This record gives sequence, C-alpha cells and structure tokens, in this order.
Amino acid sequence: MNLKIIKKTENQAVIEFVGEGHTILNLLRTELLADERVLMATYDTKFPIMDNPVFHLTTSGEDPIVVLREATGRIIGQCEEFSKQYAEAVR
Amino acid sequence: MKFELLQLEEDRIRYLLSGVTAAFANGIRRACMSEVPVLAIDEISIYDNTSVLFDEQVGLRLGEVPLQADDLSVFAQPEECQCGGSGCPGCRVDFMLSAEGPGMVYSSDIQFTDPSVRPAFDKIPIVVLGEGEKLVIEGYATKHVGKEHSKWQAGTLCGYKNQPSLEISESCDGCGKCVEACPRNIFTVEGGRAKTTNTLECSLCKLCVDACEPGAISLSLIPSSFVVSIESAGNMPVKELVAKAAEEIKRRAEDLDAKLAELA
Repeated sequence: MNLKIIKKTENQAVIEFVGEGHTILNLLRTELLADERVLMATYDTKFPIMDNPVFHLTTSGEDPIVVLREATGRIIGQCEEFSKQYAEAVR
Repeated sequence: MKFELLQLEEDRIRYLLSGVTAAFANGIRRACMSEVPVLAIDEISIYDNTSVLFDEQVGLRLGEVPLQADDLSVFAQPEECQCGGSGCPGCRVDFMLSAEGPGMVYSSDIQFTDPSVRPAFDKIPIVVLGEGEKLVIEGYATKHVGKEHSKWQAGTLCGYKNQPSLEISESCDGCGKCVEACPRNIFTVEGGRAKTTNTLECSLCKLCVDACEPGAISLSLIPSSFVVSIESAGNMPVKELVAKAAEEIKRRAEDLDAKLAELA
C-alpha cells in the first residue's frame, strides 16, 4: 500500500490510495463515519481499474491523520477479535 | 462481536456474526474472493496441440483448474520474490502435460515438478482427444490474488444476508396459510398458533407477510447481525480461507497505520 497526499490542512486530508480497493476503504469509511469528530469521510475512483481511489476526510478541527490512525487501530482490533473467536469456534 | 458457527464442511462454512458493521462482514467476504493468494497455472508453452480445441481455449481451461499446495507460504508472489519477478523456483511451479488420444485429458494428467503441488480435483475434463490426436504442454503456475484474475480466486460462492427476525402478532388463529406460503418451511402450527422454527433459513421473500392479514406477520432485518456463507474453490480448506481473509485485512490495516505514522 502506498499513499499519496494530495491535500493536507489542519482539518482536511485528501489521500490517494495506490492499488487499493473497496475491501479496506469501505471499512475505513464506515469506521470514520462512526466517529463524532468526522464531518465528512468518503472516497471515489475516477475510473474503475484505471485510477486509484482518492479518500476525502474532513474533521471538526482534529488532525485528520490522527483520526485516520485511530480508525485503523479499531479495524485491527476488530480483525484480531474476529480471528480469535473464529479460531475458537472452528477448532 | 459474537461469532456463532452454523455449519462447517471441508469446502463450505456458514456462520452468524453479530455486533459488527456491514462493512466488516463485507470486508471478510471480499477478502475471501479477491485478496487471498493461491496458485494457478499462469503461462504455458504449447509444443503440440492437434486436439479440436484452439490453443487459447486449452490455456484458459488449464488456468481455471484449482491447485492445492501442502504449504502455500513457501511460494512468493512474483512481484515480491527475491528474483524480482523474472521467475525462479521460489515463485514458480513448473508442470508438464502430455497426452495422446483416444481419450479424455483430465486435470490429474497435469504433472508438477514439485510433489507438494497438485490439482485440487482429479477428474476435471480438459479436452477430448480423438484417435491420433496429441497434446504436449509445458508451463508454470504462480501465486496471485483473485483481484488479478478469477483463476486465482480462492473463494467462489461468498455471500451474506442480514439476520432475519419474524414476529407473529397476538391475533394469530393458527389458520396455517403462512405454513403453505413459506418455501423454506419456517412456520409450523402448534397449539392453534403459528410458530417459527429455523428463522436463519428465511430467504426474506415476504410470502408469509402477503399470505396473512396485513400487519399480522412482520419481517425485519437485524442491521448488525449477518448470516455469512463462504465456499472455497478447493485450493485450500475453507477453514483456512476465512482465517487468511481476516489476516489479510489486518495486514493491510497495519500497513496503512505504519504509512500514516510516517506522515504524522
């Protein structure tokens, strides 16, 4: 995964995710929208298969990178919990 | 999050996952289909093909044969390999296929040089050879993800639905119309009242809602609860597939976190 910062201000970030798709970005967006500090979180791909998705994030003053990192932390936690419960169930 | 196993076989799994977002249930489903790397025949050299099929068709049919490996982790994806993608035993498994007619060429005729790799199913027909027809092919398999091409797709039928919730009002007189209407046999009449037995089987068709009086049966979806079913193509047991899919999402999230840490 490679990130390209297109725009970064105090409360806004526009980041291009090179080679990524809906699998991780939809999860990230849903996780961010559940956060009260997030005003806008969305992504779009100019043309599927040709372009990389661009993520837009606007917060109510918090550093967007910090908010993004917290969201990825929650996703990692969810995956760990799923793996743990799954391993116990299918043992 | 709560995980409940409903059914587990060698090639299919069904589970109830509650307390998660649709995005997470969908993430696992998508990862099973397009992010878990497996082996598939990638490039072939045709030395002799006098069969009725064109070279391209034989190539396509070979590519779609699911391959099993004892230990997939010993192979690297070409772009991540030490050789830099030019091809080496670390990222390629060579095979040979030679057959002469008359008779059917099956997937079991594909002979890999590495004894730990074999076709997942022995009886997949590739082409029928007539009297005197020959097929001599050499090539290699590589490890990739389903996003690249469907031949590397580890999960085939992967889907989920929200957990259905059926409620029958107090005014039920046990007429049994819902029992007749339901194609999944969810309703039974006991003691003059309709009852639901295996609500998870409900296909959300709402025929029972139409059969009964308006408002008597209500069907709703539990938004944070999902019935997920995953089927493996045969490359690996489905048990392993789902575990790998969750690992894959976690790996990506960790990778993203590391990249964001560099930026901050």
